[in-house]
Amino acid sequence: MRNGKLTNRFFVTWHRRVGLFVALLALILCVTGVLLQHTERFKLDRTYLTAPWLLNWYNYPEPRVDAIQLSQQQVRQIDDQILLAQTIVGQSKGQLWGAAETSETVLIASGHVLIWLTLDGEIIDVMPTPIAEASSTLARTGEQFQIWTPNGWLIADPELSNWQAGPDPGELPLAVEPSDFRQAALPPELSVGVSLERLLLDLHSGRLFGFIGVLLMDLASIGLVLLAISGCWLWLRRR
Amino acid sequence: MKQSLILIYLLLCVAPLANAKGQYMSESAFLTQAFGESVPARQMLWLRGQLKKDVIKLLGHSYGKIRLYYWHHGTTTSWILEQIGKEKPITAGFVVDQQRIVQTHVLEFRESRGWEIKRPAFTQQFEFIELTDNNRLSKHIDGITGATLSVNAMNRMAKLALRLDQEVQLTLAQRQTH
Repeated sequence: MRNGKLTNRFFVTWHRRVGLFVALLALILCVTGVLLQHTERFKLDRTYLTAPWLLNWYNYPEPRVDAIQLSQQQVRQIDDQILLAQTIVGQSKGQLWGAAETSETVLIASGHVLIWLTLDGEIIDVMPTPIAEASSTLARTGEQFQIWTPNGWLIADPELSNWQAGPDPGELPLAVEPSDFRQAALPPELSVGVSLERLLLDLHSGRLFGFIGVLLMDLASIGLVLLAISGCWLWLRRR
Repeated sequence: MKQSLILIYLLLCVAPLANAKGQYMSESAFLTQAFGESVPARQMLWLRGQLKKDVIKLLGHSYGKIRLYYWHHGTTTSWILEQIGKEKPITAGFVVDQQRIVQTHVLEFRESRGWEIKRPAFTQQFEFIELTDNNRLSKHIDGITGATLSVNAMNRMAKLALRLDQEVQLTLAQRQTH
């Protein structure tokens, strides 16, 4: 009888201690686990975090950012993704080399790709550049776009279907300036930075804090098993 | 013996991947299948006004660009369209004749799952399908297990091709009237 009381007291004491130790970690395990179950619904794999401390923590390599300032908004290329203001408008394996705007449209040139947009960022068309080189100069004359080639300037028809030899552009080409990634305000869906899914996975497994984190999560998991056993034991004894 | 079994198992695991993403048919090959050797000139269609609204209603979102290309000869139009399956776009070609799909081909598939939609057993289901008045396909398309998103993307593109064909035929009829 006395042995039974002692065993009960032992289990109650350790049940409380283990419970206290496990509480916070179990909370993290459960919350991150539930969120990860619904990765698609919460768009965790399509939401990217770019807070400087987080990028430093992950040793995230600095992405290349090039920018061209238009009259009202900015064109940026961050790694392979191209943005007009805060809207992702396309991808390119090459580098941003030009952007120009008319009264109704914007033309962006990167690598071998031309992206033609409305001023609101709606894509009109994506087409190959009319030149063999992966970089040149883009300019405009009035409502027509122009591209520099070694043989002189080309000028496009209003529908950008044909490029023919043309005069020197009326407007000076806009300069491509390198920009600081960490200073840039970026839309969360831009796939640059640490994905929310990865952060939650690392928080769930403890890897965010290295070996110590993994060890703590292992102990928390073992603690949960012990809680289940001691809880069942105590419940059965009281009956 | 054990090593041979492991090798066979690994080959069986890898074999389906060989069929996965890639370009299955070039644009020119598709157009040759559609029109024979004399492929008509490429034409443009702009998604504006009511057509743009209809496309958004059909797809559940905007198409992604507002200028589309098509090829037209007689009552036949041919469309090369793109829609995202899960994450990357699937490129498919549709030939529409007299407002019915007569050919469907998956031209390029860029994801690792769902490539089974390229099989003729699947694409042949679209033959002779029309667009009903309530913007549905006139025939049920059987899905493929594990390729639901790709199948949905193909269904959306089929509807889009039929709606765009209607627009082209309507414009041509109006031109002839004037």
